[in-house]
Amino acid sequence: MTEFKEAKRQSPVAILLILYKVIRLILRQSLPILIVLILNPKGGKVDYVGIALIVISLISAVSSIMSYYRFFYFVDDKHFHIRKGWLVKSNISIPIERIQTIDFSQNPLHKIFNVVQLDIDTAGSANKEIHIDALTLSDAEQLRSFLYLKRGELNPEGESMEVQEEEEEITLHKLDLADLLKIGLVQNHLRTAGIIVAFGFTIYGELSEIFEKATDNFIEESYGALEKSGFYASLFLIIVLLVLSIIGSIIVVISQNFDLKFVFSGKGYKLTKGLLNKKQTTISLSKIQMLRWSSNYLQRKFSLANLNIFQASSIIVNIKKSIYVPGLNPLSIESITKNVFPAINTDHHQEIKVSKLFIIRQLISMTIIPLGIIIMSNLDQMIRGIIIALMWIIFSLIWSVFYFRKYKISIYEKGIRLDKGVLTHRGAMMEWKNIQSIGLKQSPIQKRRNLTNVVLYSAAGSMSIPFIDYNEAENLRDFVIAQVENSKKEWM
Amino acid sequence: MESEFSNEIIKIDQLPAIEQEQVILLDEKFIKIRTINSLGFYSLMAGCIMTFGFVAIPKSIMIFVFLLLFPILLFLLNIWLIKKQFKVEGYILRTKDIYFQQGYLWTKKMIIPFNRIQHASVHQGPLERYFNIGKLRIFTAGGQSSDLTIPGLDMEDALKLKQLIGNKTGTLKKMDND
Repeated sequence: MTEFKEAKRQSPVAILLILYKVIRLILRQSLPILIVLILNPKGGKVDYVGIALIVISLISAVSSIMSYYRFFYFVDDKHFHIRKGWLVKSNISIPIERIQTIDFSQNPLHKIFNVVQLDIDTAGSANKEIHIDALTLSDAEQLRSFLYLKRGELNPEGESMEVQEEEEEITLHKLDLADLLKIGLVQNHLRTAGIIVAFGFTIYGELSEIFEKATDNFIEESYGALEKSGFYASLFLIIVLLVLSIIGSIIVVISQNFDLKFVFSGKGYKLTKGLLNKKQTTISLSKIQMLRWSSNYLQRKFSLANLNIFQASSIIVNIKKSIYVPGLNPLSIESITKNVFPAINTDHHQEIKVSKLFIIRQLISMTIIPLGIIIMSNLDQMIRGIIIALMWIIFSLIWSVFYFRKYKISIYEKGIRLDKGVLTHRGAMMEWKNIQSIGLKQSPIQKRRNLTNVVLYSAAGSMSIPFIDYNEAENLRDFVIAQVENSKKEWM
Repeated sequence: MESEFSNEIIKIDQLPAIEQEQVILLDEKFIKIRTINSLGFYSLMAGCIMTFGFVAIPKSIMIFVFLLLFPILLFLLNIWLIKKQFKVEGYILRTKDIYFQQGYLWTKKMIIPFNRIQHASVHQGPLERYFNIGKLRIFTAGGQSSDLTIPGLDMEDALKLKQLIGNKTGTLKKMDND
């Protein structure tokens, strides 16, 4: 196997990729100026545009080529080094034993030249994530397996944590176009509709700034037409919005999860997906800190659920690295939880009761802002305002009661599971040994009722338990802390 | 069915619990620092109101005085809170973890086991330097929300605590140095 001791350059394709990045950056930053220059009806300035473009392209080209020639990577006994930069030089070295994951990704340009982008993620201080623009696939694979091997040697006590390429792979989940269509259909369309409406408003705002009068006239005319035709027109608009939302959801789902493959390979999971940018993420079992899953009302009818796997990542940067797998069967989620947290025996469990006061908290958080909006927007018609407000309060109350009833906290000997949600059911699971710290938080009202919120912090996000009895919370905390302190197992 | 797990519950009672008497309170000089900070903040607020008053409503002195009452009241409330806070805020050092409670109205009680601590550091601002007070920060892998900051420690205590935590988390610290 190559030792990577000598300083090596990237694949020459990197020049193109860097050029692409530089040009994109410049374009993004100078877009307003360019538009103004091009749209400016006054003649004579075209030459400046031309000159500016030539200068920019020259600088970009030179800087890309220089970046390529000044970029080296190599490996010594304990560190992975990168030397780069021509105006600002930098030397980056990261301890190999601290490498967390090495990911490949490809955009269309990468695909054409059969190269990959390499991202090395470490548990270390900020700015230490290493990024190599282009390596040939074979180089990248060699480098990855070499680094993993080396890390294994440097960390003899820690089990070699990474997914080995040679491991037998079991495909747990695969999505073809039909699956994606189905998943797209059962997304939360209200959310998409919200995004579309917000987007519409922004576009309208921007357009009206540019063509002030024209759009106003247009909107006024169409609004007038709408008022004349009344009910049917609004119905039509709502249907159009709904159809747009559904199409939007489907497009988003397909573009994000195209050709998704979720694989288990003995020591971890591997997720490959993407339409234009194919991305592969590996996640090793021992680094998984938390699982979260969810399924909305429609998804449950089709027995579909979504899974989020959170793994410990950059410690100080605090990027929560997670993978998201949609369209799983709820049963396979159960089996994945068993696989990820084998220590948690789900046969015996205790439930912690959330106090009824939680209903009131939920009710308040659901009503305060909407009530304000309702009152402000109905100042001229008090009665209508009061009726709408009352309806909203009743709805919120019913919702809060159901939310309270669905809240289930199961405590196992080695971990915890949380289930909640009225229409969208959400679940989360965590093992005690992964806990970093525990906080008990009390508001004055909670203090008077001897209640508290408990927050369990892991290296990949936290989990909070609201409104439970204070003494019970203290017992739970002492129990969990004792487990963490006596645990000799690695938490990552 | 639950008998096996109930055994664990009995164990829980035998676990060392946090006793309020054991809490080591913060340094008394910290009250001064907080008071000075609070005074600075509300003076600034009062200053803003005064400038605003002179520019916008030069004639109605009553409203002006009324507006000035606002930061004064808030300041007094803050002083009261600082005194109350001092009586409850503090830490406990145990063999395997560190405990810190803060807040009087809204309280937060954190425990971090030593084997989850990444590293610790001591900070000192100019005002704190004058009073010889330090701020201990304890970092975990859980990110900002799970990190712990213990302010208002005597500088020597803070350094000692940092040293102690460094020793307790020795192996991890070695990793941080390279």
